[in-house]
Formats: sequence, structure tokens, C-alpha cells
Amino acid sequence: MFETNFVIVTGFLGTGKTTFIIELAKRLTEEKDKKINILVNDFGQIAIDGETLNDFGMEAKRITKGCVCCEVKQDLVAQIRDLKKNFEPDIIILETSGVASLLPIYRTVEQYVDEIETLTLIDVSRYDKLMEKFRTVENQLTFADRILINKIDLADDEEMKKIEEKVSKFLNKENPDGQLHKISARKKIGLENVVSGIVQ
Amino acid sequence: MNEKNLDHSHGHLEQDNLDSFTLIIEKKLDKKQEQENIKNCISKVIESLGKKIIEVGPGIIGHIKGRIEMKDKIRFSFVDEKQGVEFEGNINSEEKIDELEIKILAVVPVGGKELKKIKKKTKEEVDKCFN
Repeated sequence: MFETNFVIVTGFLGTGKTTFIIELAKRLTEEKDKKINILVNDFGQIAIDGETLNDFGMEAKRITKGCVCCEVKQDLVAQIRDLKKNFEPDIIILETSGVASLLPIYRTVEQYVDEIETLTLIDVSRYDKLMEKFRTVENQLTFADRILINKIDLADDEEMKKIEEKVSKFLNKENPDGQLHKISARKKIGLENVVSGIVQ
Repeated sequence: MNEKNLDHSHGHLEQDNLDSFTLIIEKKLDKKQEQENIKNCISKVIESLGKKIIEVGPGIIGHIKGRIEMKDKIRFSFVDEKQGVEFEGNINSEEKIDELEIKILAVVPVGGKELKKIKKKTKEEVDKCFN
């Protein structure tokens, strides 16, 4: 009996989820020899992220017409069952929309997959403002297994230190088991540990 | 299907005081243009759209993203002025094309009449790239 792990890649709007998945999927396939499938819950009427992943040679299945955490839960279940039946993937990666809540997704998928791992991306240069203005960001950080501080190439040492302290403080209080990683998906920095962590 | 479903995650957006608009613009050009020129012009339009959102909103953008589908296809993304307009994918700069499609999705902390005005202005600015 094969096992399918479910990796949720989440993070607020514009934190670099699609760019990260392009690199993640490539490494899982080429370096770790994993059979993967990608599901993309594109926001709105146009499938920008799904089409972009397809441009990079990845077969991303799109879930549109709603959010997988509420309106189209059953579409998500149907896609997972279909992928498991037809492709027997080692890992299914779900790219959520930037405003999805995590708990309802866990409840929806837990009986259909063997393990769930959540990676939440945050944007180093917008962390303060996003935390202040948008409630969704807290939810995404609270329920993550791994928190990826992305775009570290855009921050100087001092800025990086400050953000790391703030995120650590939040995690100590709200999500003490959450593991912190510093990455730049675009510049391919710090991804090895994340990839290895997923396949362990 | 109702409009609310099509414009998905409405409840989530409201929770964070966000709203969104989508633009899909198909163009057939009278005269061929280099892909690079089109990319640069759209980049300027997106940057100016982002600045406008910052100006009239609470000083932050959600996300403006989209695709330019020419002979080559690229994705663009804008979240703040510091990062600027970022592109995913490669184009043959000198390749000339006369047909393209531009898709823009803006999820931003601005709504109502102001957002409608910004959407209209964005469409006009895109059109200017091809006049």
C-alpha cells in the first residue's frame, strides 16, 4: 500500500508561494526521486498560478470557483481521490490562495492522506505591515509546521535579525513546535533543509 | 453560479478589508511589437497601479499579479515599491508579435467606487501601450 503525504503551501498574498513551489517540486522530483502532484487553488476567475506552474513543465491541477477551506471542499477531496487512484503520488502539494484558513483544510483532507505538513511563507520586508493589517496572517503562522521567512535576499542583516526575533516571539507564544527557516525561493537560498524535512 | 462564487473567498476578503478586480485584455495589434517593449510597458502600468493603491489605501497592497501571454508567456507580481514588479519566466526579447492576452488580478485594501475607478484607469493605461 503506497502512502501519500500532503504538503500545504500557504502564506499571505504575494509572499512567493508559486515561486517556491516551482523550486520545491523540481527538487522533490529530481533530487529526491518523489512522485508528486500539485493542486492550485487559484484566487478569482483567472488561473494565474496554475498556468504559471504549467509553463514550468509542472502539471498543476486547478481548483477554481471557490476556496478549498470553505466553498469547494468537495472539489479538493475529489481531486485528492482522483490523483491517488490514477497517479499514486508520494506527495501532493496544495498551493492555497493567500487568504485561506488552515483548520478547515486539515479537517477536509485528513482522512484521505497519510500525513499533512504545512509550510507558511512570510515576506521579510512586509511582515510588520501584514501582521498589523490582515488577520489571516496570524492564522497561517499559528498552524504551520514550518515557517519560511522568504525573500531574505532583500533584507540587510539588521532587518533580518529584527524580523527573526519578532517571528520567533510570535511562535514561542502561539506555535512553539513551528520550525523557522530562512529562504529565498527566487535566489534558491536555504531550500535544502526544507526539502529534506519534507521527505524525512 | 452566482457572482459571489465566481469572485471567490469573499468572506475571507471582507475579514481583512480586501477587495479585488480582474482584467482580461485580448489584443490584436496593427503593427508587430517586440515582446520586451510590451513587457516593459505593462511593468510600468502595474507599478503605477500599485502606487495608486498605496496612495488611496492604508499604505499597503495585497497583491497585484497576472500574466502576459505572447509567443512566450510570463507571470508578473507586485507587492510593494521596494520589490518592484517581478517576473517569472523568460521571453525572447526581440521576438515581434501582433497578438497577446494580458490577465491582471488585483487583491487590494481598496474597494467601492475608488477600486472601480482604478480598474478603469488600469485598462486605459494598458491600451496606451498599444497605441
